[in-house]
Amino acid sequence: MKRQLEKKGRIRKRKRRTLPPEMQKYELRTTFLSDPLSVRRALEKVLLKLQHLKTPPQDCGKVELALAEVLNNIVEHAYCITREGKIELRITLEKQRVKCTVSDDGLPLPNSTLPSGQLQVLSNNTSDLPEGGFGWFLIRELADEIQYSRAGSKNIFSFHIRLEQF
Amino acid sequence: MNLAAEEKNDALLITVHEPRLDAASAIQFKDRMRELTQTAPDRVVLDMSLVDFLDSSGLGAIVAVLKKIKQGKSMELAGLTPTVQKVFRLTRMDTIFKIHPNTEIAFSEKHVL
Repeated sequence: MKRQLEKKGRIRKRKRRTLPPEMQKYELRTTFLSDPLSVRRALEKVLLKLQHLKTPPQDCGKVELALAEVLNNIVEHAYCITREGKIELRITLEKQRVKCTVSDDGLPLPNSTLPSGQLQVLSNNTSDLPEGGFGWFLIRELADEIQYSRAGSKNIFSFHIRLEQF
Repeated sequence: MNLAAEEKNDALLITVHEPRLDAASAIQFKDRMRELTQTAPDRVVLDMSLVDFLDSSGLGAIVAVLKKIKQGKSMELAGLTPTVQKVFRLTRMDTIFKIHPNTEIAFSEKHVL
């Protein structure tokens, strides 16, 4: 009885997590360490996948940029640069959009809310120009349906990137 | 960080021989640019035509270099590829930097310093 239940559980789990075989080529899953070089390598993997699926270059750039900003934020803030941790990324190419889900075991977002990502007013005085704080602004410009949740010790971000050149 | 510098028409032309200016390379870029521009002429032109990808860390590094360059000197950009251009446009940083389509045009115009 117990074995049967376990088996059932496994099957259910597999069903829920895997796309049908004909859809699998549209999906990429990768897990990597939270450091800038590993993020770069993961983005290169995503780019290869999108190129392989004949995604137009400008759309590839859009997906890469939005993902880079989300992943950099995780390395920098959720894991505070020094804490070593893992990042899980899953992307699915749909007809006119790319669905992205990113999770990590780092610190939660402050107040569990997504940053507003306001663009700072650029000063005429060069010495007052901002050198950072563009990340969430760019994410909000590039991505739709951005969602954040905290499940146990995990942060889960999901968003869509609309492909424009289809 | 592979940056090549050459003096050209009383300016310093720096070519970025890297495909990415991102969080993994932003600090090296800033350090190397600081070295190269310390004794530079008043005009610095940064050729970005080989850079396919720039994220907000890379953008922050370019802004930091602009701020470090002493007063009276200028830093202009040339040859932004489409994704790089998009970052500048979205963040309105295209209103801060003088941006040339390519280095030929950057050096063919008359410049008043």
